[in-house]
Amino acid sequence: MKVTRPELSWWERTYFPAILKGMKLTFSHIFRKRVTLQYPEERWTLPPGYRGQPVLLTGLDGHEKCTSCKLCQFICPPEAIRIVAGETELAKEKFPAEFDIDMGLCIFCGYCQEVCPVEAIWLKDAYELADYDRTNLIFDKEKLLALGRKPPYLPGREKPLEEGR
Amino acid sequence: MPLIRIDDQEIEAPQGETILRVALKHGIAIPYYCYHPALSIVGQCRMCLVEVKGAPKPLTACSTTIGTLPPGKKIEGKYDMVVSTKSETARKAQRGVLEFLLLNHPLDCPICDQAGECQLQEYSYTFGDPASRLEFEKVHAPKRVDIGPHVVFDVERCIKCTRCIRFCQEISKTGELTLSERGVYTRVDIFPGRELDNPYSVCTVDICPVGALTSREFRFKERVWFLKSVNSVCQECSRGCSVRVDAYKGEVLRLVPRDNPQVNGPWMCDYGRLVTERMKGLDLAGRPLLRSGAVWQGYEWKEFGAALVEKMAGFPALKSDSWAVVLSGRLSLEEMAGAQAVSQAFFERSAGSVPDVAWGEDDELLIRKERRPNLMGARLMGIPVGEQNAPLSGLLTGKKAALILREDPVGDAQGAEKAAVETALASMDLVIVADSAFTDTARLAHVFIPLAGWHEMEGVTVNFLGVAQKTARAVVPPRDRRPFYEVASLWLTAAGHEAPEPTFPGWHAKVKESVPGLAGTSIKDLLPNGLQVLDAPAKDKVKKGEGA
Amino acid sequence: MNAYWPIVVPALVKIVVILGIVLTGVAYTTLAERKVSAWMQDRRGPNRVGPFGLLQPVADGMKFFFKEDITPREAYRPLYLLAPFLTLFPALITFAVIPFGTQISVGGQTYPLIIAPGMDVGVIFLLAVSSIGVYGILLAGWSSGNKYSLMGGLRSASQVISYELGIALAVMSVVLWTGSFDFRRIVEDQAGWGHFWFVGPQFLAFIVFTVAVFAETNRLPFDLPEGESELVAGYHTEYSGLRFAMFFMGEYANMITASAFVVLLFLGGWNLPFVNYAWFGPLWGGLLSAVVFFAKVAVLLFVFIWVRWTLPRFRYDQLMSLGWKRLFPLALLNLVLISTLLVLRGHP
Repeated sequence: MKVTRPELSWWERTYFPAILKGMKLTFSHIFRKRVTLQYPEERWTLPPGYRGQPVLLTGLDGHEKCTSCKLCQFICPPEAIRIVAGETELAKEKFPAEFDIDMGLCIFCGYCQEVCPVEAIWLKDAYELADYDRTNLIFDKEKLLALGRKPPYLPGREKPLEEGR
Repeated sequence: MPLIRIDDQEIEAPQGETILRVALKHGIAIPYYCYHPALSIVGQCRMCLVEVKGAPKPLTACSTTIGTLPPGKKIEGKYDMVVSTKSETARKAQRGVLEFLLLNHPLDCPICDQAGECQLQEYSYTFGDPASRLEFEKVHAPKRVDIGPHVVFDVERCIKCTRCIRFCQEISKTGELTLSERGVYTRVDIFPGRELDNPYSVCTVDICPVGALTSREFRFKERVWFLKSVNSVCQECSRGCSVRVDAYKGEVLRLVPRDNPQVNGPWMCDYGRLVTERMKGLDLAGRPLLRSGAVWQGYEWKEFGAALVEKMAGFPALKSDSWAVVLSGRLSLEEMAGAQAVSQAFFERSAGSVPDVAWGEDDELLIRKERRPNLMGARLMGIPVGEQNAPLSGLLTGKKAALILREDPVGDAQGAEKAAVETALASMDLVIVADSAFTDTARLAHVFIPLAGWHEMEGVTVNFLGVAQKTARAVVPPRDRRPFYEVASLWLTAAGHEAPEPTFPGWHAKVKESVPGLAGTSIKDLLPNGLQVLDAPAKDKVKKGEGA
Repeated sequence: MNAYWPIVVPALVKIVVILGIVLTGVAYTTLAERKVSAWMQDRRGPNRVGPFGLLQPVADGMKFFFKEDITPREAYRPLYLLAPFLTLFPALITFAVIPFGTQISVGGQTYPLIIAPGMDVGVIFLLAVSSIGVYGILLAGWSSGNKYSLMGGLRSASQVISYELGIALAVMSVVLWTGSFDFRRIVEDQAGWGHFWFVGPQFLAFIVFTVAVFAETNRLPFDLPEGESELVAGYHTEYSGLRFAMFFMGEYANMITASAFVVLLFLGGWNLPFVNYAWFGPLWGGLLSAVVFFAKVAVLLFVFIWVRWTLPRFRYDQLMSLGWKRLFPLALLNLVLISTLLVLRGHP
C-alpha cells in the first residue's frame, strides 16, 4: 500500500509545533475529571454476560450436570481443569468423580462454557478470588457446585444460562 | 489380468479380488464398517457402496469381485470394470446409508469412549449430512449391558456390522454372539447362559468401529485424544505380540494390538491387555537399596556404583562357582548382555541360566504356555535355558551368593519349594536382587536394584518364532528406576572396568556382536514389525490379516 | 580549637542539608512522576499511603529494602555488585559544586551556599563527574550476563558519547560569554540591570543543552537503554531490591542535577528579575535565594515529567541522527555565532 505523507514545512520539520501541541494536550488533562474507580469502596456494575470464575451447575435431578466428557479440560488454554471420570448409576452413566479448577491458573476465557455440550459449566460474575495460599485456589467439585446455581430455576427456564439476563 | 478403472486410476487387478481390497491397496478411500481383512466378507453395513458402470444400482465394494469381460464387450474398449467412488450416485448412496446408521444412534459422543477414534464420527464428517431429518423419538435400546467380564455393550450405539460376531465365530471359535430380532430392533445378542469370556474377548472392542463395545478396564479412564502412544511389544508370553501402549500422565492405560502378520495378526489376548491392571498392585521400588542387618539404606544412582563395588569388596572369597546367577526371560537382550558382562567382571564366571516358567497350554491362536518373552533371545545370546518349570531351589542351594534378575523365586513358589528357596537365600553371604518391584525375594536380599518396567525402557526381545522386536518407553518411570544395562554400565565403570555407554544403543551394539541374526542391522530395521533373526522359524497357526 | 573547624563544620552541615534535600527530592520526584502521569491520563495516582499518597515513597523504599537481592548465575559478580554504586554516587557527588543560593551570614561569619566554595571550575567538575555515571550503566549491562542488559548498556554508552558533544559545546558558548568556569560567576552575570538570563541571548545553546540533557539522563523520549518494549528493562533487567533502588535513585538524582545545571546556566540561577536579595538581610536573603533556586529546579523537574508522559520513544537511528546530524552542528553553529559576537563586541 502506498502511503501519502503530508508535506511538512521547515518549521514543522523541527517537530517543535507537534511537541508543543502534545504537551499542551497532556497539560490540559491534568485538570480533567478523574476516571479512576476507587476500588474496593466503589464498584463497577458488571455487564450481563460478564465472565468471572467458572462454576459447576446442578441439573433438575439434583446432580451435577457434568458428564465428565473432558472437552473443557481439552480446550482449557492454561490447563486449569482436572477431571477424573467415574461411572454412576444415573442415566448419564459417566460423571466427574473429581473435578478441580485451579482458579490461580484460570484466565476466565470462557472456552469451557462455550464447549460444554451439556451446559454444566458456567462463568459467574464473581472475580475476587485472591488468597494467601495457592492450594486454596484449587476449587474441588463440591465447592464449584456450591458456587453454581441450583434448581428450581425460574418458571419455564430450564437452563440457568438465561436466568437473570 | 483384468484391467479396471476406479475413479481416474487404471489398475490391473487379479481376477476374483474384491473392489474394496484393490481400492485400499491403491490408496483409494472407500468408507466401510463391516469389512475386516482377517474376517469373512458379509456386505452387512452397506457403507462401501460404489457405482459400477453397467450395474443397475450401487454395489458393495467389499463383496463385489472383479471379473473379465469378453474382448468385444470391454467398456470403452479396454476396461473390464469401471468403478466410481465419488460420483453423484455413489455419494448419494454413502450419504443415505450413513443417515440410516445414525438414525437411531444416541449421539452420546461426550461420554463415549470411542469418540476420537470412531469411524462413525469420521465418516459423518466426510460423507454425512450435518443434520438429522428424523422427526420422531429415536428407538431406544438397553445401554450398559454386561456381556462379559471385560466387555460392556451399548446396544443403542451398535450399527450391526457383525464384526464381533464373526470374530467370535471365526477367530476365537467360541461363537458367543449372534444377531437377534428384526428390522430396527435388530441387535447383537449373546446366547442365553453364555458370556463373552473367551481369552480374546477384548479384540471385539478393537474391531468395533463404533462405541458399542467398550473395554471394562479402559471404560471412562481417559478420552483417547489425551493418550500418548508408543509402539512396543507385549511381554506376557513368548509370543511377544506387537502392541501400541497408550499412556497418559505417567500411567499406562491400555494395550492395543498392532497388526503384525509375522507375529500376532491384528489380535491380542486379554491376559496380555490386563497387564495394566496387574501393574497397579506392584510395590514399586524407588531407589537402590543396601541392607545391613534389618536396615535398608537408600542411595542415589551416582553414588550407588561405588557403594556396590565397596560392598562386593567385603567378600573377596566369593568367586565363580560360589555364585548362583539367575537371569530371567523377562530381560531384554541388552540387559542379558549387561548381566553377562557383570558376571564375567565380578564373579569370574559366565552368566547363569534362564528359568523357563510355563503354565496353561498353547492355544490355537496366540497364547503360548512359556510365560517369559525372551527365552529365544537367551538361547541366541548363548545363555542356557533351564528345563520347563524346573524348581529354582536346585540352582540356589549350596551357593554362597546370588544375583537374581527380574525373577521372584520366593513369591512365585509354594510349599516346600518356597521354604527351600528361602533357606537357601537366608544362608547366603550376599544376595543381589534386581527387579521392577520390591518382591518377596527382594526382602531377603542384601542389595536391591530397582529396574525399569518393560513399558518404561527400550530393549529388544526375541519371541519363540525368532522375531526380534523392540520395546519403547511409554512412560517415564514414576521414580528413578533404570534398565539393567544402565546399571551394568554404572557398576562396571565404578570398578574401573570398560563398559558401553549406559544407553540402549550402546548396549545394543554389544548385543549385535553375539547374536548372528542381528549382525549388520540397525535399530530401525526392528521397526515397526520386527526382524526375523532365526534361520528356520517354527511353524505358526495365526490367521494373518493385511491391515484393519 | 583546631583551625580547621570553622571550615569543616559548615561544610558538614551543608553536606547533610543538601543530601537531605536531594534524597527527599529524589523520593518525592518519584511520587510526582506517578502523580503527574496519573493526572495526565485522567487517573488519580497513588493516594492510599498517607494523606494524598504522600507516604508512598516511604512505602516504596521499605519494599525495596525488603526485596530479595538476586545475583544471576551468569553474572560477573564484582562488577555486578559495584555498578549500582557507580551510578548513584557520581549523581550525588555533583551537588558538591552546585551553588544553591547566594550566601548567609550568621554571627559575623559568611557562609556561601555551596558545599565546595573554592572550586572555580565547577562546570568542568560537573561535566566530568556526571559522565562517570554511564560507567555504572555500562558495567551493569555487561556484568549481568544477559543480552538485553548488554544491549541496554551499549546503547547508553553510545548515547552518552553522542550527546555529550552537544552538551559540552552548548556549555562552552556560555563559558565564552562569561569568561569563567565558576557557576557563581555565571549566575552573577545573569543578574542586575542590563543583564539577561542566558536563555535569551543563548537560546540556541539552551535548546541544544536541554534536549541533550534529556538524553544524558536516559529520560523519555531518549530512554533507549531501558526501552521496555525491546529490552525488557535494559541494563537493570537483572537487578532487584536495593541495587535496583540505587539505579532508580541515580536516575532521579541525575534529573535533579541536570535541572540544576539548566537553571544555573540558562535560567538565572537563584536570581529573580527586579529582586535584590540584599533587601532581606544577610540571613533571610540567602535562604530566600535557595528557595527560589529549588523552586526553579522543581519547575524543570515537572518539565522532565511532562515531556516523558507526552512524547513517545525515539527509534534508535532517529536518536543517533538527531544527536550527530542536528544537535552537534547546531551547537557548533551557536559557538561560532557567539564567538563572532564576542569578538565584534570586543570582549576581553
